[in-house]
Amino acid sequence: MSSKNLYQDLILDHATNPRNKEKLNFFNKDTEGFNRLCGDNIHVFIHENNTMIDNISFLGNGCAICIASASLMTETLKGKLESDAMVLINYFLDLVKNKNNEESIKIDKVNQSSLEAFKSIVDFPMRVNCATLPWITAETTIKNKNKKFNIEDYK
Amino acid sequence: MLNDIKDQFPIFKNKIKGKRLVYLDSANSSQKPQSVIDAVNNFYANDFSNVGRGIYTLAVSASEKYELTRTNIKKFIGTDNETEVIFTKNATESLNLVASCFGEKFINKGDEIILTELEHHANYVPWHFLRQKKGAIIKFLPIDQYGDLKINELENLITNKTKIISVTHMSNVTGTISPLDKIISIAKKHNIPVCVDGTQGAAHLDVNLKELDCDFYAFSGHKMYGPTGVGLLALKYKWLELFEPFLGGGGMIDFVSKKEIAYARGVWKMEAGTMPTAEVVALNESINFINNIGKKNIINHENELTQLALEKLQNMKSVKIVANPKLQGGVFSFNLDQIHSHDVSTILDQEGVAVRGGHHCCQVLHDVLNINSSVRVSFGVYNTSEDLEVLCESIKKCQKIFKQ
Repeated sequence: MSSKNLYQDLILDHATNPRNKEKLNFFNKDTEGFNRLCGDNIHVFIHENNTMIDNISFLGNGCAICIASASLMTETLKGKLESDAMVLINYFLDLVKNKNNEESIKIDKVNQSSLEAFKSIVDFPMRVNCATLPWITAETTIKNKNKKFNIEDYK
Repeated sequence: MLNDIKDQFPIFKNKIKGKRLVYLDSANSSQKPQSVIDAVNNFYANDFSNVGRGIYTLAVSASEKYELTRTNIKKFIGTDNETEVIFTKNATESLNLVASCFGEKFINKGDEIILTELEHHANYVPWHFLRQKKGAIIKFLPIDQYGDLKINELENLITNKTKIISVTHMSNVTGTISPLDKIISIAKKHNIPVCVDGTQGAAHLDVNLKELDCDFYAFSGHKMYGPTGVGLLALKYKWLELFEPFLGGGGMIDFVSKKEIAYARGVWKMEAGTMPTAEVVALNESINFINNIGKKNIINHENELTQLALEKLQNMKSVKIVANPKLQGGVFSFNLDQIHSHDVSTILDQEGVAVRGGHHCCQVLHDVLNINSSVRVSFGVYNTSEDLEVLCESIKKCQKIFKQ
């Protein structure tokens, strides 16, 4: 497996020009996620109206994989209902862990094809947490679980 | 001189992702020569018994082998008659032992401990425990713009509350070599004991404790081409007498009754329970390995490689070396503009190059340097200038992938 497969154009684009990388002026949910192993951190801000994710953003430091994943996560989840967002999050988490996802038929092709840029991370097991940190942080934010958490403790 | 050393390390016969292994992570742990691997096997196959207990033939011979390593380690680090060496699990445990035993007896609320900004977490966290438990104050001797310690500021940090100074022999990030002679002579003037974290020093720098005259010198076997599981602590005998035991159990007692317990004296007081026996015995072979090559040759070899690497990397675009200390061992760290250290590390790995990315257990130092992480290159006896060629080519690959 070559490095090129991991660092695809879509990932490099999001890593070097991350979307929604700011603190929202108005948010009603936020969570900071950390990766103890490497020091990456992702702070997710969400503004929800009823169960609709009106707006979502992030701040943080991390490697290209982590920042690209955070950027793509915010693009993917913006304007989604909580329940749809959870389907997408689970789809992504299964994708990078090479697990079968039973709800993948619910996901539209545009989202599916962009998220698949992360598929080759399966061959880089040490980097899976880099990709999942933003998504698990988003899940934690949506569910209002914790203000701070560490991905190493995530079950 | 060191050209065919690689042949003594079986790991280099293997390919990594189809590529020749370029191992540049000896500051993390060194690879093992065949003689050390054989010594572990041989001890288990032919000589194994626990030490210090039985009086049958095998037990006596195992105990002798175990003690032979102690004798040779003492020669290796040039101790005098007043200094002993005890075995622990790793250098971290050695430093925890010093902080815990010293702190228990000699640190009270408001007492001060001086560390440096270069310290590995292993020489900070154990002292932080004393800050929490005892209300001690920790001060950090700063580094200058080159990554050298500002030795002139040490005198100003010392007060009549300063109880101990604990300092690294060599930084595992910048390769900075601490001016231990100056630090120890200043400390002596104020009657303050000095603990040295020699983890990076033991296999790569001149170590003569008789000349150095520090109170404690902590190091580990696995960074000196020896087995994992053995740490070492050289300490002045007076501290062995003053300290309470670190761990309690078998082997560290003189006698035990329902009413009272008397502890063993000397090194035995600090070696409770079954020790990493095979590892200690095999460590003797790693001392032989280093002695056969000669410390001077090792130092020259690693210095040459470091200078050559720095020259090559400084001429590459977007490479930034994080510090340029005047006194430097075979370690340095760098960052590539706009590329995170873990991305660099992953791409280098695809080329067979093993380097560590991250903060290398030195978050304070990375804060001071104002960086989140770095890529570290560290050398051992087996590295060659060809390794540096591969390193440079792999760095170019990172830049290409990131379209720089």
